[in-house]
Amino acid sequence: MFKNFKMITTTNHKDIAVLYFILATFAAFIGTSMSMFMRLELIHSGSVIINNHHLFNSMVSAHAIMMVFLAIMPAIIGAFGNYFLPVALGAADMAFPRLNNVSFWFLVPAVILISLSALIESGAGTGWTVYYPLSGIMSHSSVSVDLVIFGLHCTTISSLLGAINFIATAHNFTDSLFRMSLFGWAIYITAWLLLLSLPVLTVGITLLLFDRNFNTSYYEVSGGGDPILYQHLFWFFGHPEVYIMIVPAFGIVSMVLSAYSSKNVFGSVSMIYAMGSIGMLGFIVWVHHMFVVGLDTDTRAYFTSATMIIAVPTGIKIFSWLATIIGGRLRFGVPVLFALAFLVLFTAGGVTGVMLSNASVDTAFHDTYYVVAHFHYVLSLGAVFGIFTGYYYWSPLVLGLDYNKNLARMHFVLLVIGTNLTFMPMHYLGINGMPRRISDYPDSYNAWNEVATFGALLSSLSMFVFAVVVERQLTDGIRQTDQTLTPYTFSNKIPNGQIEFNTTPTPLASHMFNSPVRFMTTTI
Amino acid sequence: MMLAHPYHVVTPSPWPMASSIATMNFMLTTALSMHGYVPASSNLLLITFLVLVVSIVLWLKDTVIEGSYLGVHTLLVRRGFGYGFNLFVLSEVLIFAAIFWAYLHSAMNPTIELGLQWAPLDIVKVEAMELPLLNTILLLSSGATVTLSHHKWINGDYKNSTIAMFITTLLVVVFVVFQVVEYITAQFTITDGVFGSTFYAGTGLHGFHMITLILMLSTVTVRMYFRTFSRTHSTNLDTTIIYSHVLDVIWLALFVVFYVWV
Amino acid sequence: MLSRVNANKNLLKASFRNFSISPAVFQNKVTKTKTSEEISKEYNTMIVENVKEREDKIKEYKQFMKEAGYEQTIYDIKSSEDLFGPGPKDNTVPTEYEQATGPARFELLGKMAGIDIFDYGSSTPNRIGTPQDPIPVLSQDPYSYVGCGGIQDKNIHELIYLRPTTEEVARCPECGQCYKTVLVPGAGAHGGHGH
Repeated sequence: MFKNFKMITTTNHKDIAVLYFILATFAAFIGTSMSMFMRLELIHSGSVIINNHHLFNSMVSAHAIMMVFLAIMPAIIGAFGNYFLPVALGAADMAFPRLNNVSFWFLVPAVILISLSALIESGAGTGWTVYYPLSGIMSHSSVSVDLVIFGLHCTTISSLLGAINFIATAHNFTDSLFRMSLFGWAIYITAWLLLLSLPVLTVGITLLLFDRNFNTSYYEVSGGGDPILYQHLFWFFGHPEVYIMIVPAFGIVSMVLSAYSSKNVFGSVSMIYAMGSIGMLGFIVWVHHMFVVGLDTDTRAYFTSATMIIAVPTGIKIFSWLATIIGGRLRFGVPVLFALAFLVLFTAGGVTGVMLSNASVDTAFHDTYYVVAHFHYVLSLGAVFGIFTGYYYWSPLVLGLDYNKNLARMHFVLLVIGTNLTFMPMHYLGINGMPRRISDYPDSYNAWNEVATFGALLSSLSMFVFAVVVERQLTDGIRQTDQTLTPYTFSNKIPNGQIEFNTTPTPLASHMFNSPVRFMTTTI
Repeated sequence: MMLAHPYHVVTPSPWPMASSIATMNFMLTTALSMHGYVPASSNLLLITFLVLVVSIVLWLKDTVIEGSYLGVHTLLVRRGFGYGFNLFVLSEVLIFAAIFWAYLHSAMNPTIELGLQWAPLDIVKVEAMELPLLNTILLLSSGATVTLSHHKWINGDYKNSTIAMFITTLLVVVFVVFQVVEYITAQFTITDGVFGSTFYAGTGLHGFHMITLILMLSTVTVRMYFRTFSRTHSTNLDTTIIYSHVLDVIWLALFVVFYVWV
Repeated sequence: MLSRVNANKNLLKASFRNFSISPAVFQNKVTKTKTSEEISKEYNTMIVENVKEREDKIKEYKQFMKEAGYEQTIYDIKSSEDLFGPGPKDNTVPTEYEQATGPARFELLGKMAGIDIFDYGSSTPNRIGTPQDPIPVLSQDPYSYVGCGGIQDKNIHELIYLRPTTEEVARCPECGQCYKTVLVPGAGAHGGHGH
């Protein structure tokens, strides 16, 4: 049936990147359908499609975990990172090619375990943060939360081994890290964030597992434990996690904007420093997710200030991108549309984040739709737009096949309008006090919720348009001939015969750099 | 086989998929067992665990074959292993840091339920200067013997280095046995409030890693005996030694915070 | 432990040299700028003209190594089946010479002969390629991909990928160096038409 087992046993970073992207697309569709489920239920007050509110809560958790761990991270770090970090270094492959494969394959158990958790018994109605005591054995006595914990263990192992691989590759395969492009730097910084934050999540959720099943008292108050400990351990990971999702998107946007405006990125060294400082600062601000648990004022004051400081390097990046475009001649290709939308919408999400960083204001905003609006702006309109930018920029290179630009523009328009319609009203809902993760609401919130649901329908329609774009690309995409992707090759045309890199399971010894071998050689 | 470049382009391998599916099976079995879906007589937990161990062992066997027998571990690849293992060790240190966080979160602010003291009221703590001190000395000695073994190996003294490595393995085995004895004779269990829970979490995770270290040390002893390393090319030896030193330091931190300071 | 790490580092450091794009094994031949055609001709004719000189040098080296106790040298390797060591003597710790196999052995033998097999050195050329005198990139195909990393010591920049061919010179937009592909006899990177 199969000619060989290449897709199961491959160690080639390009093959693995393609596998990651396929899994990410699959998980994204699952996540989108879960979000549609939620939005349909919320179209007006009262029960719309379900009577079972626990099911709604399970969809909330599963949607978030699917999207964060199984759609965005595999696409932006697994797919683009794996494909392009060796390219950015000029290296043959990753430092540990087999480990690279295992990083991908651990996501398959993760998808299965998370899906099972939503399907078995009543599902994990805790939210993706799985706080104790709602996730304790008294409140969630079924196996669902345990399966969520194990699913997160699988994604953790995958990302941790991947991070080790990326950092070792970056250090070992080049004599100067400053040869890397900005995307290479973004992946490198993301890998350090992953390495240092994931172990703490592992401990947090493993202790939760023990509390649920082995009668321990890490978080159980009657045994002297503290549920706030769980929140600390979770958010010590949780905050770097959101930077892990967005920093590679920064890298992609840098590459695209400089290519399409025929200019180097303005201040590329300070861009690297900005990403690095965002990463480092991201480790010392986690308590801003816990402003309402009853911490003392000085703690809240510190974390307010520290969180606001992160806005500074982020602002430097936005201004540098603007400075990159201005003075160059911007060619409005499809990736540029997404990149420009990223600039505007990520900034919008960022400023609502500054609002939320104030402990005092957050007392009103915590667990309302304002928070939901904020993180969806920075993630769904930030990271996801980054993924699409990267896809439209690089897929002709990777596949050697063109996409239909008009269909792609249609995808862009639908996505922008849809997501903005969905998440902009949530700001108003949040300011007016609509709580999150609750499947019903008072009638006064009806109007904006209807708008939001309409927007969600448009966004899911755009996902179908994207599916059509990909399908057309794979079946009818014309192989690019004279079109260059970057104007950097003045006297060259780059035919996209890069597909040749995809036809062998491993790069041939004599293919590397097309240079002859000094001494005798036999290929592998 | 000859290569024009020093990178190791690994040939396609089934072990990644095998290990990940084996892990999934093990995790599913664990989760379902914890909720009563798996009868104990089926031994499914043990079987899935063994399958996982076997797939990892076969993977490592492939690595050893590629390194020692196919010779693809050029200097660049060896340097890469150094980076990779050190990064892995860093992540392990962070896991222990999180456990210390969990311990200190409750230990520095004992709650009413504990009687506002640490060790909590009515918990009979383990005397730090008895068995734990002995364990500390065992580990420090094992650190000394493993260094001795390593230096002798580099300088060519085959017989003494093998013996020293064997002694190191024995010392670590004795350590683990004494930890088991301590667990059996302790007056509190993991379910005895947050003190018991965090205590066994810290010492237990360390003990689990020591069992892994026993496996690594015995592998290294056997490989030293059969001389599958050379004086300068011994990635397995280097990583095992780093691992044992790191676990040693973690034990010292555990000893001070979990035993002495209590 | 630290001594082990440092030993490895020193071995690597010893092998880091300036990489000059010259096909010649005896590196210090390239002192003046040459056109790529000249270099290619040089490479192809070196084997023919300097055979006697090379053979004498090799004999001298082999004799020297034999007296030092090393039977096998890099010049004895004819195929990958030769890349095995003699094995350790009884009850001793094996040395790398006795035990290494495969590419690691090849690297070791090369280091013992002072040859850096894998060119760990910096991959920036030691001269600046001009449009009239581009840096030759040897290839078994009429094109090649080059990641220009800049001019050594003067302008190291991010990798910019270029595609010089045998007809057209590629110029890096960041540092201005020029590259051109030089065809070298071989079956082609894809095994010719056999694939």
